[in-house]
Amino acid sequence: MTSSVSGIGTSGVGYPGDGSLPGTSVISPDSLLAYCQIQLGDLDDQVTSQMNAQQLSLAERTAVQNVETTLESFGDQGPNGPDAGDQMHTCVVAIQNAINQLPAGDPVAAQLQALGNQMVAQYGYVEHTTPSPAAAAAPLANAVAAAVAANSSLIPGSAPLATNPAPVPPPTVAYQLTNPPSNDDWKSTTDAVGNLADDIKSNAEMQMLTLQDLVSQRQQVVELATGMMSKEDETLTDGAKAIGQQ
Amino acid sequence: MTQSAITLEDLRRALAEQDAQLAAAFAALDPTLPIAVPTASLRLLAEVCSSARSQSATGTGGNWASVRC
Repeated sequence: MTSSVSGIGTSGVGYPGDGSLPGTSVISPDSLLAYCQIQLGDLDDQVTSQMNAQQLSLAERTAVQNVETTLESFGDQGPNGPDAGDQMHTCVVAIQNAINQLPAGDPVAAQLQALGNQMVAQYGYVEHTTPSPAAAAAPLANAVAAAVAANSSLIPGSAPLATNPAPVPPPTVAYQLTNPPSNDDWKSTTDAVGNLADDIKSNAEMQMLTLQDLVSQRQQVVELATGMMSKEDETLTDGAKAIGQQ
Repeated sequence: MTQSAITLEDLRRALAEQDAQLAAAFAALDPTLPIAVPTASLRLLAEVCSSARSQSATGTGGNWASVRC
């Protein structure tokens, strides 16, 4: 008796009247391969998904650890003294860089953003942008230069004057901290980043266990499939020997 | 006793070895000859994959020691 196996497809099942043993399915090697591939397909999708999750966790952990390292570089008290604003700017940039390293919509990036916002608000971090005095005079200087150039073209035989506008100097940005960390404030901030890193690590370890489990189960499937084929080989060999003895 | 950590690279290598094992087994078969395989084995193979799917979805580990070819 030949029987159909769910998922094997019509091409792989049975040859009516083929004389096969009860409880067996007679299929072509290609069909058996296709059957195994179909069965392994979902498993492989899960393995791929878990591997991608592992890599994302690694990127998240690296990004958060970079922030943690930067924040901890300012000691237990955090940004303080006359350079406090610049130091806090370094922290803010570190957080922004970490966010930029992660994909859009990443939950860890969102947590970092929230942490950065809280840090900025808690310590009163502000950026003052002051245009340089030269920049304020630049429009007038450029207008004068343009007028001179226009008039010079009226003099016959004279070459037109260059009218390139004067370069505008960049504005000056100053960073200020109105409420520098005190007591254990900074420790709380660095602990929050550290906890985020620990959470990512814990989740990644769980994901890794799941991934290992999937690979182990895939190994069982592969052994099952190869075992079927090797038994088939043995059967054929035994059959050939039996025929040879007749 | 310390246990060495398993890396993603280790798992990728294991997957490649599994594929090679499967390919070698199929390569040993004569493609022109139909083969008879136990229906129960085919079902078991499907069940192992199906169980892996559901176990992965629930996040629980499984003991597959009883599964033998």
